[in-house]
Amino acid sequence: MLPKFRYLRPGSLDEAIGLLKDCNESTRILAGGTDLLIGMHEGVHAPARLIDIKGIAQLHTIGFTEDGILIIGACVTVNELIESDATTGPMQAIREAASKLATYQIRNRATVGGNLCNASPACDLGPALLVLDAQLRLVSKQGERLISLKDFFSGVKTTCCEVSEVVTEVVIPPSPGTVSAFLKQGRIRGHDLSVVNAAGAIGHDGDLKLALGAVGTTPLLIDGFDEVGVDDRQKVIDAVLRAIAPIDDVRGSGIYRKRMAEFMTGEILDLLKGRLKQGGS
Amino acid sequence: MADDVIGKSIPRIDGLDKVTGSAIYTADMKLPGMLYARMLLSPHAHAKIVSINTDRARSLPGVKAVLTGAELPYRVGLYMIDKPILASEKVRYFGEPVAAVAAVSEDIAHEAVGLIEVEYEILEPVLDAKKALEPDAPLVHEQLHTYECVKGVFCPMGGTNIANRFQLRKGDTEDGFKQCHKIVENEFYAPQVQHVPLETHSSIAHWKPTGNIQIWTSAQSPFAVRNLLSVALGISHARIRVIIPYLGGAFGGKAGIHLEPLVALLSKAAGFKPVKVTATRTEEFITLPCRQGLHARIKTGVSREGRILAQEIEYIWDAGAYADYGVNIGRASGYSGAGPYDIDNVKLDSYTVYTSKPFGTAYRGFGHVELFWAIESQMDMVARELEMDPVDFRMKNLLDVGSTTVTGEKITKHTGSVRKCLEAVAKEIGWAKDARPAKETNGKIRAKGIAVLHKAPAMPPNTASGAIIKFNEDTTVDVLVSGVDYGQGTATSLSQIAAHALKLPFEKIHFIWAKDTDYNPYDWQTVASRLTVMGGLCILRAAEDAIDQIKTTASGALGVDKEELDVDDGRVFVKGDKATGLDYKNVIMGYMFPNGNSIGGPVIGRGSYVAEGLTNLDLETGQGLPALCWTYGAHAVEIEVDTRTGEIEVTQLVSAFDVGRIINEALCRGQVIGGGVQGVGTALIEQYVYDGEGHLLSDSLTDYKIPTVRDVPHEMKQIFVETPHDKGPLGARGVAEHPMISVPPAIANALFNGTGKRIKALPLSPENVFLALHEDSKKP
Amino acid sequence: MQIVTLKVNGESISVPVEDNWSLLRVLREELALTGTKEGCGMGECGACTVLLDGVPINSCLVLAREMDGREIRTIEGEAPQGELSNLQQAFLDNGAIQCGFCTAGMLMSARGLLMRNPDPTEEEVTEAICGNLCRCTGYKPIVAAVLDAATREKQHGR
Repeated sequence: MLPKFRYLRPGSLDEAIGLLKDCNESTRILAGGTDLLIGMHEGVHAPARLIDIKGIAQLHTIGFTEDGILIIGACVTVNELIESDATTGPMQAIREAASKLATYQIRNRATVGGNLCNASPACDLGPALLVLDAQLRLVSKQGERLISLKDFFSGVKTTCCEVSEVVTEVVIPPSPGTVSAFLKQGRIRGHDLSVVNAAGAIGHDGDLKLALGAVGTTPLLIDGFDEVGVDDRQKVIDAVLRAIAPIDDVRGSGIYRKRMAEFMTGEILDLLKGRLKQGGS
Repeated sequence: MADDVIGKSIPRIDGLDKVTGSAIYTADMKLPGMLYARMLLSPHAHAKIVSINTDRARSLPGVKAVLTGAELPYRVGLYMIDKPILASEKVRYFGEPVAAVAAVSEDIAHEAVGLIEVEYEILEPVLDAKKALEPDAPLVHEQLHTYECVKGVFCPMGGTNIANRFQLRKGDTEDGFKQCHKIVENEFYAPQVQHVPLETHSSIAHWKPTGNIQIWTSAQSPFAVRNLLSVALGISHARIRVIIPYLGGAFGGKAGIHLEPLVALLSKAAGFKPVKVTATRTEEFITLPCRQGLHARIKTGVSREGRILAQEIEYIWDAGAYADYGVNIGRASGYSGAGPYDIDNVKLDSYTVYTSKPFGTAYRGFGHVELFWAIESQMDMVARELEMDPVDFRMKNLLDVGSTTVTGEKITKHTGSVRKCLEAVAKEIGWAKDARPAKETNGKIRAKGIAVLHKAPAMPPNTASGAIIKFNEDTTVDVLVSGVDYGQGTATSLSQIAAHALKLPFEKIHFIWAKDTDYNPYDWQTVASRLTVMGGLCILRAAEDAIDQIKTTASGALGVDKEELDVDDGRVFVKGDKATGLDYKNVIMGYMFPNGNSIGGPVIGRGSYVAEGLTNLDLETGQGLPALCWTYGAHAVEIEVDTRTGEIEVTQLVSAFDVGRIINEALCRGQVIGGGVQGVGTALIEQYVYDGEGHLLSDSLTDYKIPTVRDVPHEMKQIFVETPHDKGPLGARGVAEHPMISVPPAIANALFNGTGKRIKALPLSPENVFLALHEDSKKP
Repeated sequence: MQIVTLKVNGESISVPVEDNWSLLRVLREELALTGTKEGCGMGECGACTVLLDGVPINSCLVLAREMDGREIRTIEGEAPQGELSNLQQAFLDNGAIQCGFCTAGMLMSARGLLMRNPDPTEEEVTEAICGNLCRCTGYKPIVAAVLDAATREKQHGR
């Protein structure tokens, strides 16, 4: 059962940030609702106001700018990501992560912005977007700022997004020649939260990036591969194992998560190498 | 006679209501003036209730009744009367209802529950059934010695946490072990799991000013609800009416009695307004019952040739906080607990033990999924120890015609054949004796495993059923039994039995769906795979009675001796002369002569059956006749295990059952496929997970996973053996629970055959399998 | 209360709702369309699946207020004149039903699939119903039913 709240549906971004101007923590932004409403059912959240941003047309678009920058509106649904031509080639990891996220019904409602703002350590889009250097545009009455996704996550289910701010879009710089990939391990083959997930990308310059989920307080971007190439398998794995700090919970033990992180890192490297060989995916 | 309907795959008679959304379940119902109830649940696994203040809740506008345990001095229970309606004095598990509110809306009831203040004094919880047996363990039920239970059947041990002790002694195990070439001893564990019916428990009660109580509820057994409510509240059966609308899955979790007494008492307290409660999914996990956990220890002694000479078994059942049903699981698993094997010397002890956890109840298989996890894992381990093929080893030891079961029952040619089942699945899966070691490709290993099973209905020896067959004017027939069809398809198969027995086309049978204790004949409970058998026997008897009435009337009408008459195709006629006779329609409401004189009257057939020939079991030795009929079966699986992740995929599941006689083949297959997949759930995924204080962590479908469409075996094959059962209707046996039993050990045996690793605790989750395969990984 | 206007199974309906009511609650409690079931209220089981503008969603996880002006299809819209659709008939013929509690959600997920993809593969059927839990049937008969329905609908329409 949902607690009582007031539902507001601004028709424009200006209206939305106007509503948010004087808000405190008791206001939440509603996008797809597939995490927020569950949290409200469970009594984790009890906001006094919900501001539904799905009425804002510009938040629903996905596409490249003339400069090759991929812009994904915050209200683009996860299924729209899968169906979009934009999530191919270098952006393959996004499509793969989206395809592994929850169920078909959920994906028709769950949004990119919502998945990131919910900031679950196990969120599936996080690692895929991290390895693609994604940034988020945050808009408030005071103006707007662009922040890297890596800096956006601040802890378990927390972000640096202020109450007065709306995440309007994900901004991904051009990455010609990049290959990317995403993998997920759950307890079952059907819908489950990730026990561990992992994404990787190799840029046209051979630059390797890895990101893993459910192995720390936030999805973790693991860098420091300047000296280490994609073929230095063990060194990459060692770097991953140094960076992660998985915990025991109802879905899995820290030890298992660590071993899976190790295994999936290897798998991601193989996938990336295979895709490089094919000249991009 | 037109085509006989027996054996035909007639589509289920309830299908049309279900595909159109017009099947009404309890949760869909709303009565005028109905109130909504919500419960306040215990946040502790074991705590003393120091005080409860309901003042703020009572004064909330819209609240019509608030109840606490102190106001309800009642206990309920099927076999052991140990369960309060609301906790009083102390709470015994996390999620136990402590207080309840009825209000004009669900939102207000929810809000009111939040206003109830309870002061607890936390007590040490007992979270492990083995530790609960230790002399200094805290007691879950201090007053156990005062509880009523079925006398002469159960042995509660006051002053301990043992709700029941069952023991069985056959032959002399001490002597038997002395003769053995090898002795193999192992311990196994199966955690608590849940039924997870898609429909959560839902009940509506209307306590009327007349003192009559009417209940609509998602229960498996209307008469059990009525009886237990009558006993608990001291109200005549005649004043209680229980109606079961469509039921959205049950699997044992809706047997006995659950939320019905609470809503009935709320209805009374609220000034005789109807009150409804529907459990949330979280309540379904933490408040309502689950399946018991099992710690098993088995010691098996074998001869050099591979004969089992002696076996010692100890089952410790983790019953949770209440054992009203659980005590009988401990008993049933006792008399059945050595498996379908012919063993001269058996010593078996089965303890049902209270702990501070959600309570266990019947769940598809009634203890057998858990005990066969142990037995059938052990049998493979013994075979390997002897360097024998597991199929050969079983064949040397399985029950056969002439064998004696552990309770002293003689196996006859009517009992059924477990051997045929095992042979069939081994052949179908392509069992090869020298299949090991399996080949590894890309980190994946394929391997096969087998396991057998048996189960008989677990029920009191005087379990009874009834059926009524009423003819309508147009020669359609109303069939009334009180067994509930919550998806098994029994209503359809019983309709087929009725059509067959009355020699009428299937279309003439009108099976009365809703179960109503005011109108339907008595039936004990829809559990134990007993409905096709006992309901079927009642229908055969009712049909015989109806035909006798038809013949009596026709005899008067035709002036022919009754014995000279025969019936077929909706007509009663002189034997061998179909033309000389009457259509049913001229007889079934009475026969009228041309001058208006009439004889006979409406044909109403009556059939009753009580389980015949069963006995209570000797309390010292467990000897006696507990089983109406045994259904035997076997599974063979092929799995692919990914050694890199620990993930098991079941690539093939082949199952065989000796069903006696198939009544409806498609429905039989439906039971086997569905049960097999539930067995895969128990094998690979499902478990209750707690923190150190006894809070259930896996309390939602996010954290407690059940198989999805992606988690089913790639290929499933069903084989039916038909050894007619002499006491079953047309030779049939039940096969509702059996498909789930022994799926877990078949998979574990395959895992061993492929990898050489033996896992003795369920589930065979990716993590557990991975850690077993990479034991060095356990170090951080 | 606020009035929202929905098109439900082809019929335009205006209904007063509270801000915190889900679409599922409005369908079941206000519009008496109880064919759609609640199995968990948390988007995990799929029993409440309905079509929103032709697309399957969990009706427990959307607010009624969000639905203003939208088109909803429920199980009650699958056989409006009482004549079963090929999909419903295929569920009957393939033994895809046991207790029936997941059936409405399954049918809606399957209908959504057949609307966007009239010729699905077994894998596509699997993906489409992976968010619908069934505890009774073991899923195999349901997958068979949806594939069977696709074949029938290619030949005969709905």
